Amino acid sequence: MTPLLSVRDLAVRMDTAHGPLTIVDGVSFDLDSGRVFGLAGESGSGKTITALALIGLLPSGSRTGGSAMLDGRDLLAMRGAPWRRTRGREVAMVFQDPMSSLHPMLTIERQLTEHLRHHFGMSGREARERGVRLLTDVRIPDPEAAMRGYPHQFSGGMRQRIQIAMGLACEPRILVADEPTTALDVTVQAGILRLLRGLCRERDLAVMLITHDLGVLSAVADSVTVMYAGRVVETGPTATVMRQARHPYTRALVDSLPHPEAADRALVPIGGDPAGPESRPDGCAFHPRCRYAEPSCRTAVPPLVPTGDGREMACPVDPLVARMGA
Amino acid sequence: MSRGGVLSATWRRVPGAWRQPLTIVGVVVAVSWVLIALLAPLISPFDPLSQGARLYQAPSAAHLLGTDELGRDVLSRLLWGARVSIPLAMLLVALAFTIGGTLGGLAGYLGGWVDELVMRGADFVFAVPTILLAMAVVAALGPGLFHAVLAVVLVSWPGHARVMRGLVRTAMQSDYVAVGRLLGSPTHRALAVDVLPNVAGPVVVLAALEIGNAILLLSALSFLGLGARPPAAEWGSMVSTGAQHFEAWWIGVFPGLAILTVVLAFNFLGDSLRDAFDPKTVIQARGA
Amino acid sequence: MSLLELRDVEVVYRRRDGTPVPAVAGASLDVDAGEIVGLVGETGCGKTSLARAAVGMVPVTSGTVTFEGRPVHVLGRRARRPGERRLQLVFQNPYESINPRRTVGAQVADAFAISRTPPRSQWDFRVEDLLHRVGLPASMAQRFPHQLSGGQRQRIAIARALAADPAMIVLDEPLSALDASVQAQVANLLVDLARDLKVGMLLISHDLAIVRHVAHRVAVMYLGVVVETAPTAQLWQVPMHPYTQALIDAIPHADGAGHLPEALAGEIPDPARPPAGCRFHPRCPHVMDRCRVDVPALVAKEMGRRVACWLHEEPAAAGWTAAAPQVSR
Repeated sequence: MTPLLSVRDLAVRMDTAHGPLTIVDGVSFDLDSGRVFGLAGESGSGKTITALALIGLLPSGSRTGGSAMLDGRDLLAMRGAPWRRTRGREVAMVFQDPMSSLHPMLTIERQLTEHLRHHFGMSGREARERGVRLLTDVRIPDPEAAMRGYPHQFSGGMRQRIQIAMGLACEPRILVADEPTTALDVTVQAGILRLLRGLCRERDLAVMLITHDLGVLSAVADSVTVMYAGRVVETGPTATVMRQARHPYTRALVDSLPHPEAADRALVPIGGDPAGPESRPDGCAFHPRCRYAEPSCRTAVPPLVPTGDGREMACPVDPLVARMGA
Repeated sequence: MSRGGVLSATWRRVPGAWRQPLTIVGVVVAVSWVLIALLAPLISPFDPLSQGARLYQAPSAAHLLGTDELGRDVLSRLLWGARVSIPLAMLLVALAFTIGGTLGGLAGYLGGWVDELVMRGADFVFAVPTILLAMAVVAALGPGLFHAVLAVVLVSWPGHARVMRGLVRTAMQSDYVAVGRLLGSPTHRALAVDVLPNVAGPVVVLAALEIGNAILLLSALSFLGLGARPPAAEWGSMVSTGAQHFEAWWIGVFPGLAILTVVLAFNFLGDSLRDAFDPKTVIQARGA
Repeated sequence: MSLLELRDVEVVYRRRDGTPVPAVAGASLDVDAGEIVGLVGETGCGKTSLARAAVGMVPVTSGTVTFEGRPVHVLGRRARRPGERRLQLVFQNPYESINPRRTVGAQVADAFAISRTPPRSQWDFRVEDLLHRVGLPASMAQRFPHQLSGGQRQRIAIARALAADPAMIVLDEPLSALDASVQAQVANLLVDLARDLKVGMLLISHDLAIVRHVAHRVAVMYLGVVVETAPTAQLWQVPMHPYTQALIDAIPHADGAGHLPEALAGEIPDPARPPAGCRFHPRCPHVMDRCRVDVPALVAKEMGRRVACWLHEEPAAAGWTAAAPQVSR
């Protein structure tokens, strides 16, 4: 199946208080319709900037490299009017905090229908009907009444559903969700995750789910790409990456999470702190915190190579092999 | 060591936050004017009050900025005017800052009726257009520079009070003040250790910016005839005279430019002070 | 008698229009020396209000808070009593709970400065010792907060509390603002401190999974009341309250199994207008008629467990027995 969106060597450089920095350093992945693509990483990994690059919302002064091909068009090379037609219409985004991405002074109806009228030129009545249907699709109870409401009248979970409805309004092919459930209670999160997965399958939507929470990705994502300090360290089908993580960072990350089976043992943390773009070590960015680091790790950036079981990994040491060989 | 070497060595010791062009301009101009104010008696070519020269002379070699309607050298009056405006403005801001800052600090710290009283007083002053209130005060007290200073202090203190009150209140509600209280810190220690350091920065910045405002207000009052009285050399009244003698443009334009440059300089200075008080900027610059 | 006792605590706030909002509507809890009690719950359950009431930051509208047998006083204008300084609180946000303009070493030494012991000459040494104890190098004392990461700052916050030689620390979501790989570090630190220093801890968290690894006992709160308390392992193996079961079922696990967690129907009600009877009844999959009318009390069960649920008072009616093992994950 040909991928819907092909991202190759995406790089983002920004001028910061620390000088010009490479926030994202050559990231490649594919998005397929009807599948949830998980992008995992902690702070400093560059995952949010990657998403912003794909939707054209990078802060001014950013410079991009690489390509993101959607139907033969490079999203990274677009500017101005073509982007305004694409953003919202073909690529939509949902953010972490629905309170700050919903306009507090406008009714839900106004915010939902605005996109429809802008992109499709619908009449007020048509847009309104469509809006009610969208709210129904995201399982908002009593959608007619909800249309007349204001964001502050809804709970966090409801607002997030409304945001998703807004994202879906123009029937995009790609939905980028940046930490959509991080600010929500776990019981509410479960509902949103089910919704996202359902929408993905029903509408043949490509969902890019960005989060630091591996549990969320394990539940919902079909594939997982793990980023560290601006680079991809491991990528592959979710089950493969989570159950038999091979990259030392992925392994360590999975091991540091609380596991029900190991409830009576202490957690296994990763020493040190996640590397940010201003303090990225030379060579492999993870080497200062890595148990398997070898001298070559300090100088050479390991390339992402296929490992033969459907995944790719950027570590020459490959703990799985090392352990078997030892 | 060569001159270039000394200069560059000194330059490198200046923290990064202070190396911005506007900051440098602001500091240089402000310092220059302060020096002029100090040294005016020494560098002034003529006595600002002597009326010896021909009237309404355009700028020339003898009188660089021309002479005014009474034959006095404009440049000398300009330099001596700095001795009036700048020290008075600084005194004025110091007074407004002390009074307003104390009242605002008490309001933010004690809350309750003290807060109400101070803030309603501030509101009252804000409600009246600044210049009108200042004029009313001077009219009540009688014209003169000293009364003008009082008037400007009266209209300026609420600005300082409001800023201080807001900052103190925010700081008092911060988590780190709560931590101190939980450790057993008495509130006065919390004030000294946690509140004041976080409050000092914005407040000093405001003071620097207010110097510019103060000069403007003083000049405005003098322009209206309510401040400095003739024959004192004061920029505002010089501009006023200049407005009445349009053909002799040099009489009003140069004092006007003086006011402009001083106010701008202190504004730039205030903005750069804001950056300097932020520990993040300072630390980064040290590492740079 | 426990080191920290909360009995029938109510904390009522007032909204702008005057309506009272009972953030905590009658909660009881005990924490002993060296024990970590996890207090879990979701938005609107009142756990943060309870934490603040426990240390005297907010007044209790009714009920009692007792520390070392004496009632806890509310923080007023006067300095906190010396005896109560052994009851400390660590805040959630390490970016806001540390003064940005002072070195972290000076802030850790605050407890020494305030209580005037030990003598000034020993401060540097003691600060170093505290930094080591929380896993930080001594050189960190000279740094400013913005030079530290979130995890490091949180450790400083803990060191600062330790400087007061506490017998009990209340921690309000200490791990939420940290990266996943760092949460484990701080979580382990807490376990070590409780064990080595015999400090009791009340750990507030919305993250049940981590609480499971850290706490000896867990209390679950919903809409202002404690609905269940139990030793950790038992809470997970046999959750008695339906809300506890829902919380457990909602946790996604990073096991690659692709299993979607269960959602809980309904919404959290407005704390100012809680449902009649059992507060959880509108969302409970096992609701009975009695639940809509009568408020279940927190009743002691075997093995030190307590639960507030009519299902466990009328086992025959629901066909539900406490002994039936639930599917644990």
